Amino acid sequence: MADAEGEGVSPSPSAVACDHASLVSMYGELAPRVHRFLRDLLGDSALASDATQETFVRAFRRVDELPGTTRLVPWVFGVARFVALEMRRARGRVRRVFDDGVAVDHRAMDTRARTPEDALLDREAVAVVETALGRLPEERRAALLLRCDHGLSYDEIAPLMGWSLPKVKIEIFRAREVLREALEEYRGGGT
Amino acid sequence: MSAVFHEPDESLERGLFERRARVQGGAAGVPSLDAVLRAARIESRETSNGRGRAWTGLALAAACLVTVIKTRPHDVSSARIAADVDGASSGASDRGGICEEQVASTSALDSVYAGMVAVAPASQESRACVAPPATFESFRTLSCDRDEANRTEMP
Repeated sequence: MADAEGEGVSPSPSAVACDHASLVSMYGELAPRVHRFLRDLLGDSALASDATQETFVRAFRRVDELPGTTRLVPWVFGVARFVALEMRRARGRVRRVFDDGVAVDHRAMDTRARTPEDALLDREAVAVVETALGRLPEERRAALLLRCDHGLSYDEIAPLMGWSLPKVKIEIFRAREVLREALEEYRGGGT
Repeated sequence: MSAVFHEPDESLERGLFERRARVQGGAAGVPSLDAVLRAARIESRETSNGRGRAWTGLALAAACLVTVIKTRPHDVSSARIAADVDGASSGASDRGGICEEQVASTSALDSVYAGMVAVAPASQESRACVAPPATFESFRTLSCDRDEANRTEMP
């Protein structure tokens, strides 16, 4: 399998021990990623903040009870996904922010682009990704985010989503197709 | 199909996501570690209090259940009731506790007792044949036979 799983992504998530001290030391790096993941799932920045807090509250309460073989980062993302599902249910119908792209919170964007070309590429990346995410069902979107945005391996995503390994690969493959289509549309429409 | 499982190049997608993450910034809206730890501490305290209340409630419910089970009449099937009644009546007849008066039959009794049973009606019959008390003797003078002798013919 010549798959480049986990390559070029943030520090190997699997290597982190699963205990309270590790979670404290990882918080600074992990919390923004979890917040982004939750914002992409819930489509609401304020709701994502609440969900991030709830995720880490649960994580700190449970982290010392976990078996030593548990991988910290995938586990935290698993908790985050459960929290997002609960919030979705509690809230009923969540705004589909990606459908029209209007509700995306652009205030949080870093507008200090280095060059005009960078600024163009930044806009492209944001528009393409959010268009693609808006077209994906929740589960496939979560799988794509975990794989391409947060660098989890297929093996780590499978138990987190409750899927078999082949299903993970197929779902991510289809999600990537949607992303590439969105990119082609953007480039086709832009030229 | 092998293209599905051996797709090696995800660099394009990852590049898009990385750029987007960089543009959108990092820590905006992320709760601080202190806030999270404080919330976790408060929640665990509330949970332990809640757990205590739950155990107390559970113990009370169990006590109520035991009381109800002890005081409640037992559910018994009609077949079992019938069996109990039959058993009780047969036991009662064994102990001589039947309600119906049984007719004494001399033929059913032992000869020793049959003799005793035969004596009683005989004595009753003899008592029935005894002459009336002496007080009735004075009235014998008023018998029709004597009046007949003393009667005078009417003209």
